[in-house]
Amino acid sequence: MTHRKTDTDLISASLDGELSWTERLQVLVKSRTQPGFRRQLNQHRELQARYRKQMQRIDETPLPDSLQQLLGTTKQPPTDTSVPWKARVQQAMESFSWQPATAFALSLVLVTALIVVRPDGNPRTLLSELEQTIQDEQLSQTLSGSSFVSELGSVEVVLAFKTAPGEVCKLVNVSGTTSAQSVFCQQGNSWTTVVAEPVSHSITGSYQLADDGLADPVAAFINTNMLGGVMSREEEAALR
Amino acid sequence: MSREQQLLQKEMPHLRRFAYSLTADINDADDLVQDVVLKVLDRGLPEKVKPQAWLITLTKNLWIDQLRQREIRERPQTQDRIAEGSGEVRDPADINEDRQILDSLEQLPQELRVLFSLVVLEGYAYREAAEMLGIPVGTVMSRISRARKVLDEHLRTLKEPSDDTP
Repeated sequence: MTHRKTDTDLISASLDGELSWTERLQVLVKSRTQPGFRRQLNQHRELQARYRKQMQRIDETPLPDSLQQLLGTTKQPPTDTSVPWKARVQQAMESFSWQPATAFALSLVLVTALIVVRPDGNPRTLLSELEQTIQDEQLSQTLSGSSFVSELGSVEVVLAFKTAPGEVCKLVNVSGTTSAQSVFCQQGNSWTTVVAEPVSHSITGSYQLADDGLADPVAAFINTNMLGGVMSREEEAALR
Repeated sequence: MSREQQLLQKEMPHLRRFAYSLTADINDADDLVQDVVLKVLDRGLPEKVKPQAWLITLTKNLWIDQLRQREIRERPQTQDRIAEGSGEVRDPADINEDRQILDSLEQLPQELRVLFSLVVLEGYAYREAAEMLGIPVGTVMSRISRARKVLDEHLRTLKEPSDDTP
């Protein structure tokens, strides 16, 4: 039986870094569209920071002599203020400051590497087909949650977001002979593919995907580049 | 230096923080850690265990034993003792806030406090915490969520003026 997470469960698991990618997107959407949810998320984030700060106070207190003797040392052992890897990652993510050039370059390197090394699935063709087939006009007119049909099959815009330089990007799912997930970003008047990852092929079957159903490069790009959460449909519409 | 002593030295900061989050008192935390150290040095580290997880489980079990055995004693003001220990002069408002945080931890039932300490404060993954405590991952998730809710509600009641206030 699958446990359906309540908003509190979602927020809690989100702060612990235990959400699937689908759920993370759900949190992003809710935090963007539901002020109550966003307020609750911020409250719990602040609460967590307060508790962690409080617990670190014991690091400032010297180890009692009796303990030092038991440990076979007369002086204070080196203070290891490190926390397990997951907390470090979370702290790094919380203090992450956007560095567009570096992040974009890293994303491109990652995507290029994945595309070049993938032995099957013909990703170069897919990338090229995606760029050619998804017309600028169609993509710019289609809001999140809507779909249109292209030569490749059905194209669904899952969500839209902005990057720090102010570019609008859209995550799309393409379902056809070859299914793919891709992120397009608007540069000037045209849409450019920044990530494209095949997720299944009608003949060769599914490629390996994470349990949450998002391709790693796509997830990595969104995680690194999204600024300010997912855009609401109204915000998207205002851009048209 | 024995293998156990090396392990304890390495894990000492984690053990102290974990003990502090359980006891909500620095002196009680160090007492608890001392009991852990004595036990480890006396019995030795078992073979085929994950040392860090084993130490955490031992600390948790000893804390529960202490709770059962010890009569609740009157403690001096926790934050005064923190200030003594660190030699730090602190703003009374900060001290009051710290006290609220520690008091709220004490509101949590044992099973919620242990998980909150492991996951939220020490950063263990749900899967790791589930393995340590022998419970399903789903239970970890729901208990952590419940713990956050309890703490949030407790702190909120402290902030809200009561109806009796003139």
